[in-house]
Amino acid sequence: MGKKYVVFQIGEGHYAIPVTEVSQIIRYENVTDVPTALPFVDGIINIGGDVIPVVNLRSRFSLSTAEITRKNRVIILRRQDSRYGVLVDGVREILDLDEDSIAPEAASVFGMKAEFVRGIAKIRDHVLVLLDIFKVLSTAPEVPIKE
Amino acid sequence: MSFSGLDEQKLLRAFLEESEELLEKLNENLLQLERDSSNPDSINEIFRLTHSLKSESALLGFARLSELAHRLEDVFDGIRSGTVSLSRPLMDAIFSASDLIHEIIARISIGKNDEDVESRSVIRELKQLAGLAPKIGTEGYGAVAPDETERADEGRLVLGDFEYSQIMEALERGENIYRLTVTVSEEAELKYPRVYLVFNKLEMIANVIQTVPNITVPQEDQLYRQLVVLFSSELDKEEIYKACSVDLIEKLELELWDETSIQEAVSASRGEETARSAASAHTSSTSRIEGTSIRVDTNKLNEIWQLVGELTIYKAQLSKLHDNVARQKGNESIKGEVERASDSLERITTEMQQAIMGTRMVPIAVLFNKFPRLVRDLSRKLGKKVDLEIHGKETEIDRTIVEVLSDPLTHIIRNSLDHGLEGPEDRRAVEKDEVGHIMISAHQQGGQVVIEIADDGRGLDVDKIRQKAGISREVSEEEVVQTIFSPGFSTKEDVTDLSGRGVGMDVVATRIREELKGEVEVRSEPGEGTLIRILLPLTLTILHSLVISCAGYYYAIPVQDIDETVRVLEEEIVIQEGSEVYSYEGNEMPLLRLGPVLCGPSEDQHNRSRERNGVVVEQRRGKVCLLVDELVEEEDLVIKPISELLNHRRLFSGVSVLGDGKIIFILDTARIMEIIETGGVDAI
Amino acid sequence: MPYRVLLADDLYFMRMVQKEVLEANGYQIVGEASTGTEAVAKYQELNPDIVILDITMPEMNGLEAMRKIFEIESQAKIIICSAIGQQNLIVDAINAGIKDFVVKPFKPERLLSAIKNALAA
Repeated sequence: MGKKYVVFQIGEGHYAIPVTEVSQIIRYENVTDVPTALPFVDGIINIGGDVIPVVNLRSRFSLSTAEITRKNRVIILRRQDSRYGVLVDGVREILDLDEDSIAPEAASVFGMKAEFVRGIAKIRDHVLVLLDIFKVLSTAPEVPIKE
Repeated sequence: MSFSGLDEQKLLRAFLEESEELLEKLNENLLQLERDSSNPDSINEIFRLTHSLKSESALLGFARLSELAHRLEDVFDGIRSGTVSLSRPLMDAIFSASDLIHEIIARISIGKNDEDVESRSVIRELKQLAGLAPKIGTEGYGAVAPDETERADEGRLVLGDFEYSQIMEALERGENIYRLTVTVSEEAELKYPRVYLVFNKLEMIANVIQTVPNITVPQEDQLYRQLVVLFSSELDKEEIYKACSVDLIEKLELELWDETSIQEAVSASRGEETARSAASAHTSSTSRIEGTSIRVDTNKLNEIWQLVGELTIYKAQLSKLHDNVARQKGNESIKGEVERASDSLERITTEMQQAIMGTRMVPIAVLFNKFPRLVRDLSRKLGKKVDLEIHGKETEIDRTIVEVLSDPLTHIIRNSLDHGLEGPEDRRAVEKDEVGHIMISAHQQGGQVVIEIADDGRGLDVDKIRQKAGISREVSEEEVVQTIFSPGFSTKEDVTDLSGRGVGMDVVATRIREELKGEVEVRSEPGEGTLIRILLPLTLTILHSLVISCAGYYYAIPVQDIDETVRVLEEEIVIQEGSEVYSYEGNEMPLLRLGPVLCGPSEDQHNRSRERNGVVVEQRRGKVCLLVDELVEEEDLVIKPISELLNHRRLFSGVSVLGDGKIIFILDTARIMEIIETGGVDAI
Repeated sequence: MPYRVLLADDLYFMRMVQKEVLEANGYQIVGEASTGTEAVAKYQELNPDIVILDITMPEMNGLEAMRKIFEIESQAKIIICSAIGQQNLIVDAINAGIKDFVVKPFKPERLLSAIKNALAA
């Protein structure tokens, strides 16, 4: 038995984060615009009275913007008492990953800097990048995530 | 087992068909479950199947079969809710039960019934292995176990002053007072919802004064076999009986109360109450010896706090509604009621807020109180003479901050004693008072607590710090001293080498910045002393704010920071040294257009009117006029911390959410003034 | 003229028994539904005198269907069928306006008596 991961897509890439970091997965609805935030902050979402910023991961990964479709999802992440939302192109599935199928990756993967990558897993025809999402969120805005 | 006028055979055939299908699916899922014991789909499916089987077999009178299915259902309910774990022995027992079910159904299909099948042992095994306690039939709302006194008073109404006044008001309105006793048929499986049906109907036509047992806080189901309701209504007995007719109610006894009965009931209750309070007074004096505090999980307090916050939002909504209603013509009685309700809600909410604040906030004295002793002991050990002054110890801080602050504060004071303050001779040599001074102070400012620790000692040795950190001569003294907070600044160097602070200050800073999301600064005068200031955000605050709008978004400014609001005329704005200044009635102060600052340079195009709204904010540094679009309202806002992602320019000290979902950013006035002062308007 | 009844329960077997009982006692079953959504749709279409609604149904559960039916007709007569542990759901439904509830497994006489009273009110 391994750990469960949420697998999502940004552009052509597939990424995975542990379910323990995920609070909810919701549709892109009721996202309120905020004026003074960073360019890749899409807006905020109000969940149970908490103001949760929604980060557009496509933007953050310096990819071209795409239209919002019904496939898009906002993954609400939770760390200690704080919650963050990330907008992804789609959530594919919840996957059980065996420790053995994960390879640690030191060098950069698909243009993603090594410091954000926890490991690589190969599932069927896809390569999954296990992402350190909180590192991505806490990196200074000027620093690009992808090379 | 016969139904009036039904074709039994047809029913039986259908039942057998259904159950065959059910059993097939059950088997499939059980096998799957054996392979993968944590599969939630199998668990849920089996739960559903056993549930259906239970219902269907009961309908046809196969009680044994139904019970067996019921036990299995309970087991799987427990498994899916996590209270029962699936062990190997339990799995075996489940398979045995399933086999038994097969057997029973086989017997039924050849014309026998389920009674001669031995199911007791399987059921017992299931119960044991799953650790299932017998169900009482209460679920949902927190069922409160009745204590002894309540059982004794079953059916007895307790009328206090409040109930008495309600009765009087009802009589004045020309209504009758009734006492209704509702008795539920023994055969009704759920007594509470049954009486609730009656209560629900009664509420439509009467004003309920009291219910025994209490109907809004459900207790054990059996207690509701009989419900007593005291109510007032203008209808007569017959009409009430008709309105309350509900199935499965054995008896409805309606009693009209006249003046005498009312008086009797009230004085009886009063007598009881005095007796009861005398008894409890006795017990409370003994409990006082043990202390009157309890430990409460801070998470629970947080929950309550969140709820109080939401209550504030709805209270505000109700106030608005009330204002709207008051403006309309007519509906006087409704207006009056809305006003009364609104006022009560307002009063209660404010009291609740204060009460809850009281549980979360503690005076900072709990921290400060240990310092006099610490200073006395340490100064004696070091051979120094030190006088400690404490100010603002009644300043309240959040309970959760206290623990985290303890070490850092102690550390700072130790440093001051160790390195900052000189010994008596050294002090005399530089013509200072022999006795060194340390001052600790705390006060609240906006949404923050400011804690300062100052001494009149040596001050920091700027050169040594410069040297150690490798900072060039060009960097100002003020900036150099801040480096003592940099991570890794203090090393294992000999402490006495570095006069002034530095040891461990980086750790202090980390704790304050990361754990408490606060800030720490230092100011130093060589030879004169050092001041360390800690700024902590209050995590849960209700802030009295002025809500303003700017370029279509809403912001709030803490009222305590506001000096006044003004109408600014275009001609009152002049340019001085490249910045805008507001000049009126001989006063001059910097002016800042919030639109461009908050929303981007193009935003000020929105409002080109000659006269604008200005908010004059005042801090210790002086006044500034902020130019906004509209002054919306004054409101008590529940402030929540704001994520860094939304606040990378640090213009906000928090965020608030209204009941209608509107988001309001709270402006950090101190920071805004800082920015203006340092001329950094363009930098933001 | 017989009263028109709509039955909603995801178990075919349940509906069959209810139908047998009610028809034998002079009621007319004008429709059956096996999901909440179907129940609401059939209510809209058939406008029965009373609805017998099971709480647990797939797609849309009984309580949601109940609410939607009340939106269509605020005076709708609804009797819900529940399991023993669902007290809080029953109370919610009572607050919403149902006429009565029957607890599963129930005897046919119980259903008959509940319907009779509900229709008489």
